[in-house]
Amino acid sequence: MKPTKNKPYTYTLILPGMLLYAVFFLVPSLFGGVLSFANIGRFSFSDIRFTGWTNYINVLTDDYLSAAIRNSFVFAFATTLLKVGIGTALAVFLNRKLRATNYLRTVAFLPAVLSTVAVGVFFTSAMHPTNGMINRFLHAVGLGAIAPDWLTDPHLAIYSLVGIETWKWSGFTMAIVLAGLQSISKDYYESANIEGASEWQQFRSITFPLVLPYFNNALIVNLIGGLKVFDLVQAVTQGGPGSATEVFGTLVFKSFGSGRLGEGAAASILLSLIVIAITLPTWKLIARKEVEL
Amino acid sequence: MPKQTTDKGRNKKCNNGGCIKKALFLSALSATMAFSLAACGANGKNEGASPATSTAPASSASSQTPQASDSAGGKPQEVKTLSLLMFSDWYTPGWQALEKYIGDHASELGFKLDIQKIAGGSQGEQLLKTKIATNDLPDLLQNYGPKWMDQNADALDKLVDLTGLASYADYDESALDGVYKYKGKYYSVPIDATTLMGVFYNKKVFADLNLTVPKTWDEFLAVCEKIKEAGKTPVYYAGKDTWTLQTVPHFGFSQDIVQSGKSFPDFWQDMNTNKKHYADLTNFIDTIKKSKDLIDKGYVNKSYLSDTYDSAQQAIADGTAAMHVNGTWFIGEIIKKFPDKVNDIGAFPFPLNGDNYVNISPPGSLSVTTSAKDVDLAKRAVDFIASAQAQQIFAEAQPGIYLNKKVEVALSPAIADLNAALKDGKGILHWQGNGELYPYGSFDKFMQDYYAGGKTAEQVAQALDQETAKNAKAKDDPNWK
Repeated sequence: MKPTKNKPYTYTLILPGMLLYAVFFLVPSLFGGVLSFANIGRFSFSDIRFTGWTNYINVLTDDYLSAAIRNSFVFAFATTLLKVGIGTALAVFLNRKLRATNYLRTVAFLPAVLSTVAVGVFFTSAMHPTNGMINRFLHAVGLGAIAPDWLTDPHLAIYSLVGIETWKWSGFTMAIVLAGLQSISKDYYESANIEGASEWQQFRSITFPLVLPYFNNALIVNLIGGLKVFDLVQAVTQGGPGSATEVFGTLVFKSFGSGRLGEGAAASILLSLIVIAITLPTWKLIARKEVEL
Repeated sequence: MPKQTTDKGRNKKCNNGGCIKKALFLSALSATMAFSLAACGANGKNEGASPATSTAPASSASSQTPQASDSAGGKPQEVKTLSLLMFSDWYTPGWQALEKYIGDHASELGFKLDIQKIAGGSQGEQLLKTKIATNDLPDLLQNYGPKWMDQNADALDKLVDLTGLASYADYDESALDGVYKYKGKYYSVPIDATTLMGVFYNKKVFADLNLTVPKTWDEFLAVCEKIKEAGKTPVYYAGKDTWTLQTVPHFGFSQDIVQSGKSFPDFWQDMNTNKKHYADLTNFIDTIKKSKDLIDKGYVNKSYLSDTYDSAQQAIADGTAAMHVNGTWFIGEIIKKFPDKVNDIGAFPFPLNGDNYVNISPPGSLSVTTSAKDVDLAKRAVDFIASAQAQQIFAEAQPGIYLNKKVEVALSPAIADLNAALKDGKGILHWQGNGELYPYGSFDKFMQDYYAGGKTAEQVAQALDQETAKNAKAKDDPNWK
């Protein structure tokens, strides 16, 4: 008797997928690794000269590296915390049956659909210290004294970016967590109600543990996204003023933009290593606490 | 003051005695350029260019109607479209007018242009380099010149040798050599106006406060103080467009070149062989500090890091700010956006020690690429664009200083002011893009960092050295071992 039931497909069927994966992911990644140990002036193989660890040394001794690391971490952790926090709160709130539920869900999700560059241009203008919408509002309500230089104060700029990112992506986190909430069977809550559990007890003992896999997912996605951020920073501050909002992404861009492709590749590889080093333990930590549905 | 010729006033050129004739200032300009440019192309390398023996193209056919002579007896021609790639900020009012003319006369000329614009800056350069590497080039390419194409993009072999174009007869050989003629061959024609750099000021503000043009730094500070007391912004910085933050230190840099007692190429020979460094340039570093002094003294608009080049034009035009340090492209924008204010704006060399210089940037380059589908037609098109007729159309839409000797156009007061300094021999080739062999990194960003407190003025100069060293080492330059 052949156990055909457990072997419905042959391995040849995964070939197309594997091929695409290899061509568009594996090969470029390997080339990136090779490139990070070489100098290359233009896009031709005849131009490659291997230079050992020079590119890595250049990246690690870059003046802006310490600022980039600090800012990337501040940005990643602050935005993850805020996005997951606000996103979860929104999800719990919009998981009820309200008349405006669908409308409010759309409103919360809408910023995620907008182009980052458009959002960047909008906030650049809204956060202008004298003519910007936000400071004009503060002046109008008599809070002019505390109206800050949102994007040009070197100590504040990175947090302004955190604010913009949170505004843009909280709705997306909400969508993930909401999907989790809706997969929880009503039976749990019914029996909890019969047992006389309070709302908070229900959230702590039913909702949270069951939604944890989704929560974990949102956390990791946001953490990786935060560490890899480039588009928003480039659109709003280009890493400035000075190095106040320099992140790993802008550092990589700077190397590529100066034609130092090897150095850019080295910076990218370092970024990948950092992302892996942070997200893997985080994911494992939370995964251990997950409950199977 | 010379009467302003606007883009609407094609027939108004040189209609009074104050008109500045091209011939006059071109002699001054070419003298300056000959001094500073002639050997510039030989900078750091022995390229075998010999200005003394190289001759201007032999053909002396009138370039007023190059097409007529080229079009084989005036047969009706098939109109072909030539693609032309440029950075979007190079699509100036002059280009707009010339493109329209070419489009309107396509059947006589035998071609029309399809101008493709890509974003400028390092992003655009990267895109251009990618296009070069993949041979995805247009028929015509506006670029930084053959030297840049050679040293920064390894792409000299992608440019067609234009030696022999009839229109070269309209240009001074000395003004072309080293910039458009490189390693003994003509690879491009000049396009757009020569840029002069200085301080642009609202003359009405100065007149209302009885101020005179300052010649020294102390006089400049005194002028700023009076303007500030009058409740206006003395100096407008446009730090959101970070490139504008480099402008003040440029003048210190020129002082270092002048005070070195060396010619421009010799000065750069030392810089490009690791003998002299940006951090050694005392005047340069001093002007970096001076640019911050102005901020610290409250002479600069408060939100200067959020304000744009665009708002600088507005502020100077309407007189809410008195002065802005920039290049003559600033006036090009004023002509386009505030044509009635052009005569209110004058200019003076940045005041430092009394012996003040105007920085000169030669016009851009227009080349034919080896990817051109019809190289002969592309060469004819470039020949026409460089001709006196086409350059005149360009210049009338965008008055300025053109290298074509036959172009005559009234200059706006500000450009005439700076041109007067040139005639006094106070012009010096702008350092950026004309001297350095290796890219020096993001000077604008370092300046921003300095203002934000992340770097000292000395560290700004050191950062330029570090980037230069990185790029030199990446090319295995033995001087940086």
